[in-house]
Order: sequence, then structure tokens, then C-alpha cells
Amino acid sequence: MLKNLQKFYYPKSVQEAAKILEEQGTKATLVAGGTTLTRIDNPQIEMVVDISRCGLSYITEEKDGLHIGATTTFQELFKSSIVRNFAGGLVSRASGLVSTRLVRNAGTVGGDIVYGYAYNDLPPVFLALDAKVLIVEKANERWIDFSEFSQKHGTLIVGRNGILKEVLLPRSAKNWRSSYQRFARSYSDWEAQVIVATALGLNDGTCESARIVAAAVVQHPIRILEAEKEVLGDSPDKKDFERAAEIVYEKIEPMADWRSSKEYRKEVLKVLVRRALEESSR
Amino acid sequence: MKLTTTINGVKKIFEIEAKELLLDFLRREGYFGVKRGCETGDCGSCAVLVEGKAIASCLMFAAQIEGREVTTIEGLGTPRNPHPLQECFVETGGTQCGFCIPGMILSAAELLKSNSQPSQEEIAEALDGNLCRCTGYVKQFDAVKLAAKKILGSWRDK
Repeated sequence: MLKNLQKFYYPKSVQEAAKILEEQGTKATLVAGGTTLTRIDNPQIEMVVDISRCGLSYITEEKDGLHIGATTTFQELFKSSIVRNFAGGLVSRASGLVSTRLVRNAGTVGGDIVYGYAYNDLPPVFLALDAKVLIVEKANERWIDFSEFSQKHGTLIVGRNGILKEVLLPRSAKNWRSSYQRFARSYSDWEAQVIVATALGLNDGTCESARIVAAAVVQHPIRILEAEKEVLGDSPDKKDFERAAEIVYEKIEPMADWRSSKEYRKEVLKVLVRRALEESSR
Repeated sequence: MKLTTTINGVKKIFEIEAKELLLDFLRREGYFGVKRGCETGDCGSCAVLVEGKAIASCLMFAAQIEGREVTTIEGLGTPRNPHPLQECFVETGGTQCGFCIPGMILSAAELLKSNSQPSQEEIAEALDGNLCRCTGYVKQFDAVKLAAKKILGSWRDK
């Protein structure tokens, strides 16, 4: 509950929103869908800037890849045929697994990656696809690799006055095959316990690119490069996938809570990596 | 602060607190078909349509509907003039205690607007945010399928 919230702004452009943030400083924050902000306690917040009216809901395919506006909802991503045809539908699959339809209709790409909770579904898939994010601060726009963006809490990088405007999925990932594995108590359980996202760039049987990402068991999604090396090269097979899974098992010490122990999550993580790689190779 | 919104087709100006949730606002203004179930966005009894999309009103600030159109169950149909979904939920036995029903029907209404012949999986995905402790969902899915037929049939008859 934002108990000191007094005022809402409804800017019609990102520039207008950025100006308000600059003027109001720490007293103001952004809202898009509201599914996270309504559940946050912060007595500092007195103003909310609604950026859902700034024209940031779009999905377009251009020469350099897929451009996704920050206020695009999970459901819009899930239903988009452009997104489904990109990288084997990795982003579609992850978006469709977010909570429930009621949350997917409101929650947005920007909210998911800026809050960046360990169990959020989009950060691991954006990391797996070498995504970039566009940040607007004052009059400046700058692109940041998602690998850098995801390593800190999003708000530290977006900045006090920063606005995340867009996510770019680069064309290099378009024909990758992929898999998204999410382990939770149920489909609609917000807080996944183990997440694995994989993507393989296969050219006539040869694996030229590999991404193995673990999330939920770590604070920020992480690529396991040593495991990726195991599946690169000529026709990766079941043995390579098992070795990769074993490496992930060795490397990751999972965070854990009352839902399940870290020993259990390590076991599940190993299985999900193997399954994800097998699915990605088909 | 002032809030200008269109609820069930009627445009009005309200006085609200910036921090209040859409759920609390709607019930305060007499829309009791919007139910308070879990207050954490998990059960779907508070579902309403905002610009035609089903959302959990406990996860939205009232202020977010500024200039937008909201539909509650009261706006979908009345006892004298029920929406086909309302008729079918009664007809198939998809309603027991009734608490989850307004939210479930609104989710189904969004589905049928864009998908006139939804499959079992499509109904499941559209209704996955609406929990029911009474029925086991079978009759409710039957109701959605029956309503889809009725709506399609009446469109063909025109």
C-alpha cells in the first residue's frame, strides 16, 4: 500500500513522463499495469506517473530484430504471431506462463524486467536471446545489453529519472530453437522455484550458438558458459546435454526458501537443463 | 482527486483517493458484483473488464481507469435482459454458491468477443485466473461452450 500517495499524472509521451520524474525526484514512481506497484509498501512515494498512455505498447519486426515497447502486456506478447515465430517462440512460451490471464492482461514487459524479481519469467528469456534495452533519461536515450541490465536491480540502472522504453531481440537469435522450463507449485503460482531457458543456433546439425540460463534459483538470471561449451560444435547429443546439466548442477548453489530446499532445487535444475536442451535440439 | 471514467456505459466523475484500489472504489460506489476474495490477485472474484480486457481489480489503482471504459457484471446483463453467458451458467449448473461467477463470466465475455468458437484449451487459458471452490469447472466450461453456440446462432439468424 502506497499510504502517502497523493497524485497521479497521465503524460502522453515519454518526454513528458521523464520531465515529471525529473521534477519530482524520489517522491514519484512509474506505473504501467499496476500488478506489482499495488503490492508494494513505500511511504516515500507521493506521486505516480502512469506511462501506459505514452505509445509504448507495440511489437514490430524490423531489419535489426524484434522491437517490443515497454508497456506491451504479457498477453499481447503471448498472442503475437511475430513473437511466436521468433526463436522458436521462447518469449511466447514464457509470457503465456506468467501467472493468470487477469495478470497477463495488465502486467507489462517493462514492469517485469525493471522490478526483476528472481522468479520473473521474461528476464531469463531476454538474457538467453542477447536482448538489448533502451533507457531514456532526461533528453538522452541509450541502449544497454540485457546481460548488463539484469545483473542489478532494474531501478538502479534505469535510474531515478530513467524510463525503460523498449526491448530489442536481435535478428541473430531469430532462427534459434529454444525451450522454457518453469518449476513451481502450480501454473499460476507467482514464485517459481527453478527456471531454465535455453536457446540453440543450429546450422545443418552443427550448434553454432548456445545459451543456457538459470533463474529463480539465483538473484539475477545467469548464463552458465561452461555448460554452453559442452553443446557447441558438431551434432550435440544426449550425452552432451547430460554433461551440460551436470556442469550446471555443480556450478549453481540455489537460493531456497520454505517452498523447497536448495538440495531439491539443485536436482530439479539438473533435470530441467537436460530437458530444455533436448527440447531445443528438436 | 477527480476520476473521470465510463462504467457500464455511463460516463461519470468521481472523487477518489489516489492510493485506493479499483476493487475498493467500485464496491464503495455500489458495484457489489465485484467481489473481494483474496486481495492478492490469485482468485479472480474481483475481475472486471477495463477497455474490454479482464483484469484483477485488486491489482489496479482506481486512478488507472482515468478516461477508460469499465464493465462490471452489472453492465453485462440484467435479470430482465441477461447476457447469454449469464443464462448458460444457470442452465448448465455452472453456478453453485455464485461467488466466483461474476469474475468468471467477465473473463469468458472477453474470450468470446475475440474467439467465437473457443476450444477447451482456449477456455482454460482465458479462465485460468478464476478459481472456484464449488463446482470443479466442468459445468462452467460447458456454459461457455453453450453461450458461444447461442451467440454464434443469434448472429447467424440476423
